Amino acid sequence: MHIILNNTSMVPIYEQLVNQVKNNIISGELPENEALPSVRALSAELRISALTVKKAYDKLEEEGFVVTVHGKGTYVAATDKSLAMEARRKSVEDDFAAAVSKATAVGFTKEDILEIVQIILEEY
Amino acid sequence: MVKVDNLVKNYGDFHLEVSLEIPDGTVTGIVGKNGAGKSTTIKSILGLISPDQGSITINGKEASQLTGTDKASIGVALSDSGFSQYLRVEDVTCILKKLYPTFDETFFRDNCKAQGLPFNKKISEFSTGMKAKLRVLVAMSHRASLLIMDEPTAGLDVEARNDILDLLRGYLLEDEKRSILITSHISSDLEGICDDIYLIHNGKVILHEETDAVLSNYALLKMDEQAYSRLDKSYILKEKKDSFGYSCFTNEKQFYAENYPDIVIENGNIDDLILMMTGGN
Amino acid sequence: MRGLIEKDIRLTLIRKQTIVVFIAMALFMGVSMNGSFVVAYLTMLAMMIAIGTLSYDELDNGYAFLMTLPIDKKTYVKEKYLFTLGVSVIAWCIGAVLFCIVRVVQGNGGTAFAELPELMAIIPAMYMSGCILIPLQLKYGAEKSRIALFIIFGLIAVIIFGSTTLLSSMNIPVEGISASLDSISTAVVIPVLCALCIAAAFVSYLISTKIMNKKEF
Repeated sequence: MHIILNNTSMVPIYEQLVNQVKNNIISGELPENEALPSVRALSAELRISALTVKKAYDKLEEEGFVVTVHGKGTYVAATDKSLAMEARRKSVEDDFAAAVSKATAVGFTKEDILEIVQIILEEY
Repeated sequence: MVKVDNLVKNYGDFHLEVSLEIPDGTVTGIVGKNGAGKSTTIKSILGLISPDQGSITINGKEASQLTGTDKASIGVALSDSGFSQYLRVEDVTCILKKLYPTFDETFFRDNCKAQGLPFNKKISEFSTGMKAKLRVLVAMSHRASLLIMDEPTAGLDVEARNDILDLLRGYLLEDEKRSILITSHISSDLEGICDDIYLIHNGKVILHEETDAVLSNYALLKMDEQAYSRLDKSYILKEKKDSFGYSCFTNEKQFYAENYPDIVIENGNIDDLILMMTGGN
Repeated sequence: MRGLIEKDIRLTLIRKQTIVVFIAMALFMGVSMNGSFVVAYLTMLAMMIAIGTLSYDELDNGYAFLMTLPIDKKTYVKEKYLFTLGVSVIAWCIGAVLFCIVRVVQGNGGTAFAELPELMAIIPAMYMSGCILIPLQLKYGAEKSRIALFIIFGLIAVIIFGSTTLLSSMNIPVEGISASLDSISTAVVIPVLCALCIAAAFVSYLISTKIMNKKEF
């Protein structure tokens, strides 16, 4: 499992952790039933507080990506990959929608927005 | 579980009044400037000084009534006190073996070796870092369920500080129920290990927050006078006038990030917390 | 308790060289002075060294850490009394052996064995002064307790001198009293001394625990 946290990012650490574990699960790097490192182990490895890791694991469980067997550990849940993928697409669409509404709020026209997207895509 | 309930201690002009709680299985940090009352709090919990008022319980028992057996489940490292410096690590090993029934000699010897502590040299000949490592290892040597560490990393370089924090992390890893109470004025040390932070200033707890919340919700906002005049100040904890305008400290980073895209927002950390909360207006 | 004793033994052994020098000096004195002074001398030094572990404990604010160890204040105090007694007895034995050897070598071993029971009085006598020293050191620390000790011994000297002059001025024969004291048999003196010593140790221990309980670290 690869996790790289960015302390200067505006995204809270626990959210970064949630997203990266999700990526690992969706990409198949973390297969079904694979055990995640224990809360303490991951917190020691990443040098972040155990509570942050616990929060991330709770969030992942809530979203159905992992299951915690009390007293044993946390395991990758049997998720429907296509469903997970669908959820991610949806969240990206939401981000676009938010950006568009913000843009229209400051008076961007449809053409302006398309042009910006063009520029970003070219730079990408 | 340690519970400090309305502890009051007066030393001349200095007035300490704190309440705090360390649940099992958590790492609690106390931060604050020198002389804020961190050590006094720790010493009261250890029963080294008797509080003027209030109660301190460790696993339900009054701190002042702790017996030898109770104390065997606590590991302590104090910043300014330890075994006589005329002793050698070899002596300390033999003494610990007789003091604690649960003393783990293999663990202690292996770790002393790993940290490069010589067994046959007097402690007085050790470097500051070596002395600090020895104090921490002594505290961990008997499988205590609670470690109480007063400034374990004070006066050390980055490498030695990391070694000590890694020792503590390893200690936590062995048993989920273990707890640590740690004080430090080097806040970056605490950010990476504590679950819970108490900020003490002038003998009072002025802030109690989960580390995670400090790092993700607190922020330093920087702006010029004009932006400042337009700012909704509902979530500003402290503000300070600077050469460029204003620095404001908030615990609602998201709110300002969304509504004021034109101001500079820096992630908060415990250093900012101390500086802003104990200074500023 | 075992851990504390271990610590004090190790703190005492730090002064290995000093101890060897003391024993060598005692041997030399034993030969040259021919007297039982060796035994008293060694016992006294040993007791001073044993009480000296208190200074090691006190050094560099060491008490704070010691009190976080799995012992209570009472045990700490108790251990100091037992340790001092143990060390004094051991030193007395070494002194006695040296004394006997010297006498045997000089060809009058018989007198040595006859004098031994009398020499046993040294232990309770010395230990009583230890009982004054321990609470003093706990209360005032190594430095100030020395001054306090001088004052106390000075007071004792004044009292003794004062009372003898008082007695002689009242025409009570002091020499007679001391002579009659001398004539009391060893068999009486030693039990009386021991009883006094136990009483002194007990009172001293109570005072020490009180001092310790009041202390903050």
